[in-house]
Amino acid sequence: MVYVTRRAFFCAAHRYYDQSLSSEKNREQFGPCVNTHGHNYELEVTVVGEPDEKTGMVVNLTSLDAIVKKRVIDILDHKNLNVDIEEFKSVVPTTEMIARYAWMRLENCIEGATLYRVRLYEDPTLFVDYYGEGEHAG
Amino acid sequence: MTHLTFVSEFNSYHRMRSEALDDAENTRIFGKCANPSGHGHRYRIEVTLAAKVTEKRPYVLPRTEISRLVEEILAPKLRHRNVDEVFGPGFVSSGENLAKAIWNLIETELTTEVSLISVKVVETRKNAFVYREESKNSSRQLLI
Repeated sequence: MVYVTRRAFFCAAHRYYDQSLSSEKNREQFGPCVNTHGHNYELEVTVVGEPDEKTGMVVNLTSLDAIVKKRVIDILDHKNLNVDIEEFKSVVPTTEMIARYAWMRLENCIEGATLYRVRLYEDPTLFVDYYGEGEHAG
Repeated sequence: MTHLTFVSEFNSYHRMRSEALDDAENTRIFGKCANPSGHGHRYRIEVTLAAKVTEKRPYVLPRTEISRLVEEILAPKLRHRNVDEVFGPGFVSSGENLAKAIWNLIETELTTEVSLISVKVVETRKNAFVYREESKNSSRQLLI
């Protein structure tokens, strides 16, 4: 098996704010992240599979780019996640939840290969890996 | 399962010396790393944690807690410190041993819903060390 990772980029605003908690409790739990701020996110999509005998490739990177762009980047880029994205109106758009969102948007859309991991950097000091919720995930 | 990795960097002093070896052996094995007056690195520490993330608990660890681990647990031991003294006496400050020492520092700080997956110490652009306790996890983490 070969693991192939492709990167993509988007910029978005968000804040950590749980509507069910008071603003004092939010600030206590999330610190300065309760203020709306932004990140230059870096998304790494890793797929796994056997290289095709004819092309030598697990996945055509042009096709993978197009799927990631259509399913994730075009939707999140230059958006305020808490305001513009339906899924994050009631769920805090933490990097963990955005990675999971990207996984769900990509999982069954990649022809010929299996999605293995979604890695999302919010900045060079913090990233999240999501492997799905399958039997062997984690 | 979701993994979260936080990255921090510290400038630290160390030298390679094992009390179990004599001076000649230290020099033979560790070469310039055994220079008696020591040297230093800007270490990059990557700590990977895992937890079940849900809509009710939408994070592996709250960011305020990550800041505490970096500033109150790691920084006092590593930032502009002599790691041989901090973790000594008798501590051989190899990247391998540092990764394990940092694992021990972090592990005791975690609550039961969070598990420690790995500690990576990047000593220079040329070498890095990952400590994991294989028995404790069935992680799918790619180590590259």
